[in-house]
Amino acid sequence: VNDNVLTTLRGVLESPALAGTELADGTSVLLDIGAGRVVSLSESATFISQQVREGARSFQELAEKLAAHYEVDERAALADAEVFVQELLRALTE
Amino acid sequence: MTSRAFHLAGALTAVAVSGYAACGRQDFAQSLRFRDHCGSLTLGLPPARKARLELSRIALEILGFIVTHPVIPAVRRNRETVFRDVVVFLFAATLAVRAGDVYRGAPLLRVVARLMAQPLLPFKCNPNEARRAALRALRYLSKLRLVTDTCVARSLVVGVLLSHLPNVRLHIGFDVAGGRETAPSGHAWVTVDGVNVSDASPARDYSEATSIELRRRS
Repeated sequence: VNDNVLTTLRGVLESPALAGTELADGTSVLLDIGAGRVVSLSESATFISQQVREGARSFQELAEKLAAHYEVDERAALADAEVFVQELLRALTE
Repeated sequence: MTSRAFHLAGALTAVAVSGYAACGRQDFAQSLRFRDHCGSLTLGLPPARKARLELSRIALEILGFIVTHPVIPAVRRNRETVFRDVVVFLFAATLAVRAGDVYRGAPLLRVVARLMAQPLLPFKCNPNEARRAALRALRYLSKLRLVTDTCVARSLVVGVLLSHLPNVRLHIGFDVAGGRETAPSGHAWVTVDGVNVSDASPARDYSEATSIELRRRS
């Protein structure tokens, strides 16, 4: 997956139309009131969206951070992160 | 959908992303999948014909409510109170039906704009009056299956009834519902000058996601 997807997702996540709320258990909710859309993120999904917001430039970098944080295999993290980022982007823009 | 605690369901399209926390490697492959994608939920009255029939029923039911409501004889000594209660209730009922558009697929912001274009009452009702009327109207109309009695509809009705006041805001927030396997619980409420006026007693603290100013165009 092209790393540009991360830039696109960052743009969407930083859009003023999208409100992000972190909940007490580490999960979060993204709310786009204009589109009437709510996306509920698990703790790990919240971690990824934070990394994207904070400027993760490539999926490789994202996978390294995931692997370090959750103590999982980097290749599996890479594959999952790629799928997740694309699905999140689709959910927020479709 | 598994978001049974999702009180905003229907007003918003919910997509739940659920997965692991600090899970082991074996769970990781399934971790970041979307668990649910419930799409737009349509509640209320989808077919236009049914809506027309039921709207005509509402007028009759409201008249029936007015003449039979047990509160009215009790306050009949004070005609002004009776008049106010009835007018606020009727107005709240019409707002509640319009607010129900959010459950028929209309975007929330558009519904808010339409509601804010409604005429003001000839008198200014206070927050208690507005909350009481909204509760009554929604409770009654929901029994007739004309509206869905939710925090969103209630907040919209209260917000419009109080829109003569400055600094009225509709808030939307979330809280952890029943653990990781359920979607977060959403809630909508209205504040006037920062004071919650739509909930009699807030059940818990919700993390506010966004708020909309309910202001009439001058």
